[in-house]
Amino acid sequence: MADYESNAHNVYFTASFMPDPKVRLVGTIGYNKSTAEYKSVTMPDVSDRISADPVFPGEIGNDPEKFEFTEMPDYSDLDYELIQFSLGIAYEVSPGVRLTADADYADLTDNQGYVYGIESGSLFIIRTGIQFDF
Amino acid sequence: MKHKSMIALCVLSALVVMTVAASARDSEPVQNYSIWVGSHYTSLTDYAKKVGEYNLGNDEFLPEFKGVYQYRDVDKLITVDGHYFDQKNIDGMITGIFGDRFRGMAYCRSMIRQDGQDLLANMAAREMTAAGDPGGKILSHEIQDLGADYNTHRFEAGTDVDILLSRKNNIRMMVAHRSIFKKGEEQKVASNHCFSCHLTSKTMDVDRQTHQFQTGIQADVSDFTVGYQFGFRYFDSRAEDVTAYYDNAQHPMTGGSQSEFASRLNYDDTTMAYGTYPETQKMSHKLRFKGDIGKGRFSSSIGYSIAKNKGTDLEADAWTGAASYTMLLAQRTRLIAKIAGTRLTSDDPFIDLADYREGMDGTNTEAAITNFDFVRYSVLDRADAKASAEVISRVSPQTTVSVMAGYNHVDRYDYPTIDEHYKTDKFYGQAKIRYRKGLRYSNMIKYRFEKTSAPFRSFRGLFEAAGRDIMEPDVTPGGTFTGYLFSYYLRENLRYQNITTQPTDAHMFEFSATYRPTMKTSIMFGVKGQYDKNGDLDSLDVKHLSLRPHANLTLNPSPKWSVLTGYTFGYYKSRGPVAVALFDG
Repeated sequence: MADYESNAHNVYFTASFMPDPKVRLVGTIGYNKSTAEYKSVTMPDVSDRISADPVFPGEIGNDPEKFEFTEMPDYSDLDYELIQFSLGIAYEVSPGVRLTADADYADLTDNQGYVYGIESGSLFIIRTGIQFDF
Repeated sequence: MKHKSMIALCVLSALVVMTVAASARDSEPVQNYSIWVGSHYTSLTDYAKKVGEYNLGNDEFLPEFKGVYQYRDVDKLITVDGHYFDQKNIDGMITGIFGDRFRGMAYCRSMIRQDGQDLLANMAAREMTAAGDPGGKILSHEIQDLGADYNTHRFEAGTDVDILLSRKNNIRMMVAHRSIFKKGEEQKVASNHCFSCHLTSKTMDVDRQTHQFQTGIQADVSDFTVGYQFGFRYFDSRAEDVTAYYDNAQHPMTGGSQSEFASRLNYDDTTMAYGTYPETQKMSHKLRFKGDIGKGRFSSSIGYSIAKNKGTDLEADAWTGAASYTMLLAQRTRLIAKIAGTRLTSDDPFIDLADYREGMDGTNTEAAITNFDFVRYSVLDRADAKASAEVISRVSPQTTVSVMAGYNHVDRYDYPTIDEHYKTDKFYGQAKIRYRKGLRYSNMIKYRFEKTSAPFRSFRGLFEAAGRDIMEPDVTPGGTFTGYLFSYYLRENLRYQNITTQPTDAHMFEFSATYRPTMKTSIMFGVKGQYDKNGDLDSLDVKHLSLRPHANLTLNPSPKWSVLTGYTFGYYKSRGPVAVALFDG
């Protein structure tokens, strides 16, 4: 028997501000931490079964060191942290015409890389443009 | 080319709808446009496939476009919305409503997804000798394309149209379709036979298609509405098969005992395709009937579907039926009663295996040769019946109370052995209270309890019994060796008892509250939780617990400021059996 436990925390903050009727600012901060793991594996005592085994009676040991699988929970560990920031600005240069600029940044930290290796990495996107409203 | 054709179809649909709108207008319409033209630059650092799972990244400025168009008239509404991020990330949708005559929608979605490469690092093990040194059997792996850049491009397009053919009898026709194309490359791992315990990882092309089509018609006849609906679904993979070499049967260390090892296998020393996808199709028919009966409203349907694996020529069919009845018990009290039933039947394939130990040299005896051929009876074969009743009452202008009770019966055929039935019964009850006081308070609390008798389990432990005496365990607690020469040593008692992760008792709880102290402030919080366990198992301790609290705050302190902040937490704990694979079984 074993317990499998996962936790996911997510905090976010978004604000928009219009210092001027022509200017709009939007910002976002996000933080996510996710963990998952097997707790210790509990194996039953099967001494009786081993001694009564009809094929290899008593030959297969019941050494706790060999069968406790103490390292197995480590193989299941997942531990990620993701931080995200974004900032955007829109400026109305004339009625129906706006200039926009946005930046997004995300940084992922993998504290327990395993199946795919260490997956830590970051992403940065910058976007600029002009919007026409008719 | 097909993707371009689908995009062209979307654009054509948009033009047709807009043309119809322009020609049909009989009053001054209102039109709004918004177009955004720009560019973006993406940079990925270190490992890109997780943080940039849906973004390939380009270290250069690429053009980007967005557009929104809306056309409004007295009884017409058309909207067109599109976003071009790059060649493989495109969204577009057009919707149109023309009075009660026509409602239509067409869309396309295109996206990329990056997949990581399983390094198979957990697929490495070796036996330890009595002296404590590595030795004996070994599990190894081989990645033939280390560092491969797996990614897939998914393109989806669909339409959904509802047309009023005649106002007499309100005859309506519905047509909908959806197509999904997936292309790229993915990882496929082949597992060799256990004597060589070796895994091989290769790159496989992805070229899969799914097409769905639905059409139906309905009409009002007297006080009732009747309808018919036909559905078709098709899936196929057109990617070239990836192959792996399966080692020659022999002792992994000495290279000897070839006939001994080969006599236990269906194939060896050969190259075979693996990780293939089936070509499948499904057709369905459904009849609907609804109307007012007595003091209430009645709605029902009966359906038949047949699904086929065209590669293996296996079929599964299903009859379904459902009915619901809604009526007022009192001025502010409503009853909703529902019943539903399903009958699933699937083909029973014959599994033709090579005789076990045939051709073995030396100590071979005829008695040792065993035929493991069998008919695979599916646990999909079943009858499933559901019934529920819910009473909803508005006990005061602010408070609504609902109480529901239900029952679900599942009868699995030919399980655990042929002609036997394995039946599961589930009873559940639910109570819910909602309290609202204007816009200031809105609260809801709900509790649900489910009691299940004999939830699905795997008989005889971790191994499914296939209805053959030969698979009876030859190692029994305190028993004797029956001499089948087929013995797996399993350290756990789990082998010989009921195995399931399904609960017999489940408690579900939900609470949410919204509080608006002022029109500029809103506070919301709540929690969802579930606890379940199985109390019918011999020695296993199976239970699950999940909690999902959340809270958020919305502030609009001035017309210039808007703030949203919050926190969510998800906790999940599961306790169940763990199977550990060991050398020697």
